Amino acid sequence: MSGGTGSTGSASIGEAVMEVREVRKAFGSVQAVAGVSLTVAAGQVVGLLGPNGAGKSTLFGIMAGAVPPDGGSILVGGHDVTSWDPWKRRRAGIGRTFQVPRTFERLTVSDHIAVAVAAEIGSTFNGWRSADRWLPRRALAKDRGIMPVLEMTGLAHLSSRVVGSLSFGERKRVEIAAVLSQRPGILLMDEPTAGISAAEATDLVELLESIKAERPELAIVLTSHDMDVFFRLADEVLLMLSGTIALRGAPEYVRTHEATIDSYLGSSARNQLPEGQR
Amino acid sequence: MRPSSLLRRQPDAPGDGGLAGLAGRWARGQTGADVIVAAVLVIANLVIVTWFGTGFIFVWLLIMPYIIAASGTNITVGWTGRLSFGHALFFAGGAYVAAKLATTNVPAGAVVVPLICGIVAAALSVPLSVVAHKRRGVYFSVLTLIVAQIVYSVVQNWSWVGGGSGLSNVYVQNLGPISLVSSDAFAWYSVIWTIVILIGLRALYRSPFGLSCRAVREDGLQAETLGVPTSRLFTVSLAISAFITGIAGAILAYSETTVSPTQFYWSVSGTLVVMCLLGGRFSVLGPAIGAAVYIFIQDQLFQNSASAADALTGGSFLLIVLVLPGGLISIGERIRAMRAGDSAAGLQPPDFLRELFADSKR
Repeated sequence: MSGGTGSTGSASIGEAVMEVREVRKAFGSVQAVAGVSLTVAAGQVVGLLGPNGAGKSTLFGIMAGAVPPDGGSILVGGHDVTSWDPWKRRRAGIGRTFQVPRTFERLTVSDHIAVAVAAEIGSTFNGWRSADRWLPRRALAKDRGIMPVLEMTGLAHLSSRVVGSLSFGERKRVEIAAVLSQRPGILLMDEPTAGISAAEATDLVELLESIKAERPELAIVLTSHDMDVFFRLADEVLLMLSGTIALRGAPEYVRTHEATIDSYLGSSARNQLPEGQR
Repeated sequence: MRPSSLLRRQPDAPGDGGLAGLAGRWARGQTGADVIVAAVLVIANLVIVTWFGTGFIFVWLLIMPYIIAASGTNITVGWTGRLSFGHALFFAGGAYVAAKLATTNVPAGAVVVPLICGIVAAALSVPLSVVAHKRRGVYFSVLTLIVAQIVYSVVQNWSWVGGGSGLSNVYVQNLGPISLVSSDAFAWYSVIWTIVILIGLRALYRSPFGLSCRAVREDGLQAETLGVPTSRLFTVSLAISAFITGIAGAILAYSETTVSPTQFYWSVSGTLVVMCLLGGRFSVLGPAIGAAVYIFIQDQLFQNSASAADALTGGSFLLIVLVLPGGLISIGERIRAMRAGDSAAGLQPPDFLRELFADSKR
């Protein structure tokens, strides 16, 4: 169970690493996701745009394995992972962060990362070695160091702090650091900039850009309300409306499209655009 | 910042002074305090065996199996964060196996029989895992309680294990040529088991496995998302928890020389949980301290009367809820906070109440 980067790790840029085929999910009479298909290629950054209730988070849950779909399938690196639990999907190469950060509150920052690293190098069930001394060395030997990722994410000075004592933005960073320490092939980020300050959001985008520069084969799917995030990061933006993908294309195309403007600002806002973009 | 300082960690419950500090440093393995804990137990044993009367030796011989049982139970209650009301099943299960094997000649029986008791208890944990591994909070508590109560009813009506009256004449087997039946020899035997298990638990607590258990307690979905197979991890942790509690059962059976179906009763599970909470379940030493204090008070102040045990359980809960949410192990920290004028520090409702009524899954 060495984990590694999973079945998406060896994909070359442009090769499809994840395929979503016609997934559907209803909660009672509400069709949250109504037949969505999309393909994510290695190195691609896909932005999922959509107003509240459009089904973005449900689609995320389905892709990450936290929400079982009513129909359709998810393929990762050619394997059908639709029925796989989240932990098994992680080993197939999917990493994920949540809209509201989910962290191990009573653990220290470095312990939080250690849990992720132990899972990644297949040491979760090791009950006789020290997580303080042996694990960081072992992780480093397998190129999954705890300290390097803390330094990269700007958390090194907080490494011995208890996660529960950190700010919202810092906890978000801890969650991202834990996922990054595992080097997933696909990173699903649900609202990475929600609830943090503009300065923190800028830092986060810069962090993602530097990771992309370091690992160009990493595929990222992210949702956001923040158009600036899409503009700086995304190669392709999908607009979700009422559980379906209403529009897809380059960020600039989607941003200025009337469907986007109508769903975000109401149709009256279109009149305020420059003449050529209405 | 130097790398060595970056690798330093804080315990789950922060604080470096007093009892919690010692326990924290011990859990982190910074002070070589395995030796200190071993020394404290050995000296206590020496003093009790040498200078105290037989009356107190019997309390001491009761304290040790409960230290082991509470520490084992705490893997479920404190590490993975699930209030089990079924650990009497493993505790009494271990005791009954020891009783049935008391007259069988097992090679190196003094060591092997308790290990067999532990293995049987671990096997008993498997059906419980199957039923309850995806449940948390009060759902988990009720499920474990029901399973243990079913076994209680079965044992009470099963003549092979003595039915309602249980089994008697349960004595520890010889260690080679050495008889361990005298209370002095048995005290040394118990104290060695206690030391070995506490040291083993500390290593396990700080291992990737122990750390992952605590991560699952904090957020099961996040742990699973990070690739931790949470169900399998819980099954293994419950088996280890049962294994240690089963060993404790054997030592209790030897200490009391009898076993009875009342040991399977749910209130025994409740007592083990209270010991964990009383001492402080977010540390390795907390449950041991909780067990020692609980048994000491029950025996010395209330002469083991049943209604007094209920009062003690209730009193412990009141203490934890109103004054010491972190258990006895946090007492130094609490006093310091009060001295600093921050009397409300750490006085949030204890986490176990929140956990008990949290979501049922993961």
